[in-house]
Formats: sequence, structure tokens, C-alpha cells
Amino acid sequence: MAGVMHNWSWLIPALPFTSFLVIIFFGYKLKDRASHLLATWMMMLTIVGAGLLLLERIGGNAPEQFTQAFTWISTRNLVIPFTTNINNVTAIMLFMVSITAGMIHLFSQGYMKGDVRYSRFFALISLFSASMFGVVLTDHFITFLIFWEIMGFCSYALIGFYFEKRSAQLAMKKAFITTRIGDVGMLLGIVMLFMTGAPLRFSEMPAYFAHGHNPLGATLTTIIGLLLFCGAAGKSAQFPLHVWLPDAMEGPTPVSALIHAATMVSAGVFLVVRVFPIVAASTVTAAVVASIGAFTALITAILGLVMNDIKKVLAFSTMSQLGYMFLGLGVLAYTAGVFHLINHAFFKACLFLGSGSVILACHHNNDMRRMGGLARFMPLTYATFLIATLSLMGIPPFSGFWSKDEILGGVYARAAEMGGAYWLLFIAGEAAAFLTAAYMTRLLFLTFAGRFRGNDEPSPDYVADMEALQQQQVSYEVKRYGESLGGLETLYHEDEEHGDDHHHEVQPKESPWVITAALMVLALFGGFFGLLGAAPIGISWWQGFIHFGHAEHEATNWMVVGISTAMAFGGVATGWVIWGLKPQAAMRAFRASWVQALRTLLLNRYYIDAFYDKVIVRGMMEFAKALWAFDKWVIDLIVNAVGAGTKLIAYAYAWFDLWVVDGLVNLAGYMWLGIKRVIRPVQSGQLQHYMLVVLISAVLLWLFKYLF
Amino acid sequence: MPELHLLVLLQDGQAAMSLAEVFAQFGAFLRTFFVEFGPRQFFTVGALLFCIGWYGVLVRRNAIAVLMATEIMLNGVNVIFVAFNRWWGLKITRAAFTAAEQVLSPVGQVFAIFIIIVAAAEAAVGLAIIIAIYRARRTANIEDLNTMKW
Repeated sequence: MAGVMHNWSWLIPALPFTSFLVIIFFGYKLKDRASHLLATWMMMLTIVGAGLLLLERIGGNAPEQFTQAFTWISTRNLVIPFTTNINNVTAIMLFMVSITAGMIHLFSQGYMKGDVRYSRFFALISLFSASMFGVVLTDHFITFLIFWEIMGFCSYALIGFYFEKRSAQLAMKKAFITTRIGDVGMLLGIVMLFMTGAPLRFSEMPAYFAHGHNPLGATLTTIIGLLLFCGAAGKSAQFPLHVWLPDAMEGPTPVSALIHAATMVSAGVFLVVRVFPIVAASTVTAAVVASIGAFTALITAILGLVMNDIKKVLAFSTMSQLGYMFLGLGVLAYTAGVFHLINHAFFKACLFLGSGSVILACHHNNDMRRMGGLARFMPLTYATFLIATLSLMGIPPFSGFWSKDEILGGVYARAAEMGGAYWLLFIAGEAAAFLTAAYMTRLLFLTFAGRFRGNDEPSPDYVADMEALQQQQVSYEVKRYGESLGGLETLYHEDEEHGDDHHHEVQPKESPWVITAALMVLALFGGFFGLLGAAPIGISWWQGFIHFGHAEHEATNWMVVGISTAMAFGGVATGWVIWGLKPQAAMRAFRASWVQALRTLLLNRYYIDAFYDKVIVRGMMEFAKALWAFDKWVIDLIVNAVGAGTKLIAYAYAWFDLWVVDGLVNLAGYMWLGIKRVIRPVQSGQLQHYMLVVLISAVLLWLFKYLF
Repeated sequence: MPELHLLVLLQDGQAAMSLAEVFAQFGAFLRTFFVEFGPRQFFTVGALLFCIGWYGVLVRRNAIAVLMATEIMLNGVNVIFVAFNRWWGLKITRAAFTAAEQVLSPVGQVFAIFIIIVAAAEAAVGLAIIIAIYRARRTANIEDLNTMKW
């Protein structure tokens, strides 16, 4: 019985891949219902499988590091196997991914109902789930890269799921290219690992990079670590490759929950977890990982304060929390980093699904200016959303508090050890915790509290934003098709059942059971999973289960616990005062010119996107134009000259062929015509002529015999 | 039997023998030729028949006459076959049908009989063709039957 599921672990990616194959090839024949049933039930099976796998690990029925391989490519000095590498982190990741993915499949049945490309959606999220399981399971860096890139493709295809929308097209390109930039770094890192003879298999890295006898030397380890971190930063949307994630919210909300909150963006963190021996072996790499994480956590948390789109707030929150994870791993708090990864995946998936439920209730309007008071209409969504929000804010005793506190405790310990600038990491982390609580309070107030604003006269800034989007779409359509097809309103007829009345009253109502069931499961995990590692109150199962090297039992730093709790409650209180109570002083301060300037700066995301657009994208375009001009005026010139020369030679040769070669051939023919005219009369058809010829010949022969 | 060497007359550009000698030889030849019984006489008859046949083929215009001339040619050849067998035929031993020690092989006669048979068949086919041609073209003039040319 021992380790049965370990031996069959390849089934976990294989099952969703099967449903992908079936749906992508036969989905157009199947009913929508068949697609989602197949995909969802396959995911339920993988939940069972991943659960069994986790139970086997907890029960100690499997070795510390279980690997199972079949060789894929084998050359003299490179062997690439498809290997499963199962340790405690793998098992818990598989469990998390299967639960979130399964719940999101369930949720999608409700959310995507009646969608134009329903079966394709399920095919793509199945493929995505399969590749995410592959990323988690696989042991070899090359196969890891394969699954990693399939994930990237799925992300690309699902961000652009509504590819008729200009904004979705731009977002999908941005996401794909930005993550590619990181992946190039990762690929270089893999190549360097291979060139230096370091192992490409994760299971061999801890022994190779063990403290004290790292054969590569500090510099090489640092370079490799930083290059690999490029890939992680691209995938996990860390500064400076963070620009794609907010735009990725163009995809359907379940996709945002699955790919851009719970799993794919966590895969970057998971990469750092897998190569943690390399990170831990280089102080510089660890410091870079930590500082990038802390910086991203802080700047994106600030952006969360001003966004109007509910999904964008959550997207910035995701980046911020991913920054926390990197911060944790960067200060070598391995246990805490993985802990936050799992907790965050659960509660952020719940939050995104909750926002999806809200968006569904508001007839596919993401904008919080058109929401409000939804707690009354959708109590289940509100309750689950509240639990996940409290977890994210870091309010005890919910999950997020324990893991965030553990990370900050790790940062504190590291800062106390290293001193100096490391204290900035701690300050940034605490500040981000404060801001997290504040922007989530704002989100709660805008969405669930007060009065429903969906049927009000739209505010001028909302109208301006919508008109900008409409303008973008119309100008694209004019450029693409020569005329406008009607802009955004005609694209997807989500409200068809309501006839042609587009300005009907929005009446929010609770979502169907598939949505609320998924929300409740995720809220359960998102809110309370963290209790497994609640070290300050004496539960440290997690710390014993997940650790790098030997399990270390640090004494609880009650000061950090206090500061974190104070920050969380302080953030909530601040948010409550500003967006809940709305005192006169706050309103006056909000109208001050410098606050407005700051708000504009934040709404434009510090102009980083604009900077990239102006400098990098435009620069690349100009470079490409220069290359095009070179191609047109130099390369093409040479090619055309060669072509013209060949043509001239061909003309000369054609003349020669016509008059000389053909002439000789015709001459031979005419010669035979002439000869024919001479010898033809011999064959007269007169029998007697022939007999005469025979006679004459005989006589001549006879004469010859006698004369010569 | 004297040899007839008419064509050796001009060998080496001068007369090998005088005209009188030639006449004398020819006279001797004639005198002996018609009284002897040997292959030469048969060859002469056969050759004459063959030449007569050839002449007929060359000069007659009626296709039936040409056919008849071919028959004469064939019979000339037959005479020569039989004569060859009679004087130079292969002697074979222990033939099945005789007690004699040595008999003449009948190959020449067999050839002659075969030729007669074939000639009969050929005459039948030839006449049939000529009749068919006559019906089609209303002529049996061999000079008009010249379409098989070029």
C-alpha cells in the first residue's frame, strides 16, 4: 500500500490533459454540458489523487524524496527524463492546485454559462491545469520549462479569450512578451547550469549546492541564481516585469482566479522553491530576491488603493502577496514562503471567484463605481469574500495572518542577523501589510457596503473611462475592418435574454450553487488552512512538514506578531475611516491638488507602463523599422540585382537555345526529310519491282563471286 | 563430262581460249548433255523452270498469272531438291523399314512434298486473296495493287 499514489502520480497531469484532448478535438460536437462535466469530473479525480498523495506523505508511507522517471531524450552527455519528483512541497502544491483548479472548474460552469466559446474555455483551463501539475511534479529543468511554456501559452490564450476586444489583444501580447523576457533569462540560467556541469534535476540540487562545498563558486552561483530568478519574476509579475498582470484581468474571471492569482503566478515562486539550494547558496541572489519581492509588495499595494476595477485591485494585491513570498524566500524563510504561497492561493482564488460572482450579479461590469451594497443581495458571496479578505489582510486567526507573520518574523530574524539595509525589507513588509488591509477595506466598502449604485446616473469619470475604452475599440475596428462594427456593445450579447433594452435596471441576485459551493470550499481552505501552521498559538504541524534542510523551531517573536497585528488592524481602521465613515476632513484632503496629482500618478501605475511603451516598445519598433529599411534598400537591392542578372543570362541562353540548339535539332529533321525524298521511290509497292531488284541483286552477287 | 566455262573467257584480260575452242567445247557439251542421266540435267531443268517462273512473276500483269508463275518457281526448286537427294543425299544406316545395310535419306523428297503441300495451300490462299481484291477493286492487275508502299 505504501506509496501507491506516488507510483501513479503521473495520472494527476494526465487526467486533465485527457479532458483537454477530448474537448479540443470533439468539443464542437459535444454539448456544452458534456465539456464542463468531463473537465470538472477529471479535476475532481485529480483532487482525490492529490489528496491521497498528500495523505501518503503525511502517513510517512513514502521516501523523503520520491522520484520516478522514464527517459525521454538520451544522448552522450545529456539525459532528459520525464521524472516525477515528489516531496512534501510537491504534495502540498498538488493538493492546493487541484483544489483551486477543481473549484474554479466548478465555478466556471456558472460563470461562463452561454459563452460564445464555452468548450474552448474548458479545454484551455484543462490544459492549463495539466501543465501546472506538470510544473509541480517534474524533476528535470527542461521538462519543467516545457510545462512552464505550455502554461504561458494557456495564459496567453485565456487572457485573449475575448480576442475581438482590442484591450484583450493588447493584454495578451503584453503578458506573453513580458513573461518571455523573463523566460529568456531563465533559459540562460538553465544553459549555464548545464555548461557548468551542475545538475539540471531539482532532486540533485540540494546535495550539489550544499553549504560549504559548492563546486561552482560564489560568482557563478549568483549569476545562475539571478538568471533563474528572471524567469520567476516574469511569471510571478515582480518588478520590473510586473506590468502584464493587471492587464491580464481582461480574461474571464475564473481565468484570473486560476492562472493570475492561484497557480501560474505562484509557479514563479515555486521555481524559486525548487531551486532554493541555489538561492540559499548565494547571499546576493537571496538579497535580490528579497528586495525585489519587498519592493514589489510595497509599490503594488499602494496601487491597490486607487484602482476602480475590482479585479485590478485584486491583481495588484496578488502581485503584492507574491512579493511577500519572494521576500520570505529571499530571507531564507523557506517554510514561511511556501506557507504563504499555499494560503494565498486559496484565499486569493476565493477572492477572485467572489469578485466573479459579484461581476456576474452586476451583469459583467467590473467597475466598483457601479457596485455597492451587494452584501444584502448576495449574502453567501459576501460571507466567503469577507473570510478571504480577512485572511488576506492578516487579521488573526485567519490563514493569511499566520503565514504573513511567519514571513515577517523571518525578515526580522534575517535583518537582525545581517543588519543595515535589511531593515528596509522589514519596514517595506510591514508597510505593505498596512496598505493591504487598507485597500481591502476600501474594496469591501465600495463593493458590499452602502447603497447599490448600478442603476444610478453614471459619474463623469466612469463615463470618461468607458468612452476611452469604446474609442480604443472603435478605432481598432476602423483600422482593422475599415469601418466600426459597433464597438464594445455589439461584441458579446450577454444580455440577449433581455431583448434590445440595454438600459434595463440591474437587479443583483445571489449566484447559482456551482458558484457559491466553490466559494465556500475555497473560503474554508483560504480562511482556515493557515491554522495548521499557527506557531504562535502552538500549532506547528506545517513547520514540521515543510522545511529546507532540518526543521528549525524558532521561538515566536512576539514583537513581530504585535507589529503585524497592529498594522493589519491599523490598515482596516484607516480604510474604515476614509472609505467607510468619509469624514469631512478626508474629503477635503482628497480634493487637495497634490493628492489628486498622486492619484493620477497611481492610476497610471507610476507611468511605468507608459515608460516601457515609450522607451522599450517604441525603441524596438524604431529598431525594427530601421531593419526593415535596411532590408528593403540593401538586401532587397542585392537580391533584385541578382535576379535581374539571372534574367539577362536567361534571355541570352534562350536565344542560343532557340537558334542554335533547336536549329541543330531541326536540321537533323530536315536532313532526313531530304533523304526520304530520294530513297522513297525504292519502295514503290509494285511487287514486280521488288522481284526485279532481287533478281538484279542475285545476278550481281553471282558476278561478284566470279569477278572478285 | 566437259565443263562449261563461258565466263572464264575474259580472265586476266585475255582470252583463255579461242572462239573455235569455245564452240568446240560447247558442241561437246551439247553432245554429252542430252544423253547423260545425272544431277546436272536435273539442275538445269530446275533452274530453267525457276527462271521461267521468275520471268513470269516479273512480266505478267494478271495476278493469277503471277501466282501461276510462282508455282513454276516452286516446282523448279522441287526438281533440284529431289535431284540433290538422289545423287548427294545422306546415306543413313539401319533404317526402320528396310533390311538393307545402307539407304538414302528421303530428306530431299520430304522437302519437295512439303513444298507441294505449302504451294497448294498458298495457291488456295492466294487465289482467295485475289478474288477478294477483284471483288473490292474490280481488277486483278498487279500494277494497280501498289498501295503497300512508303
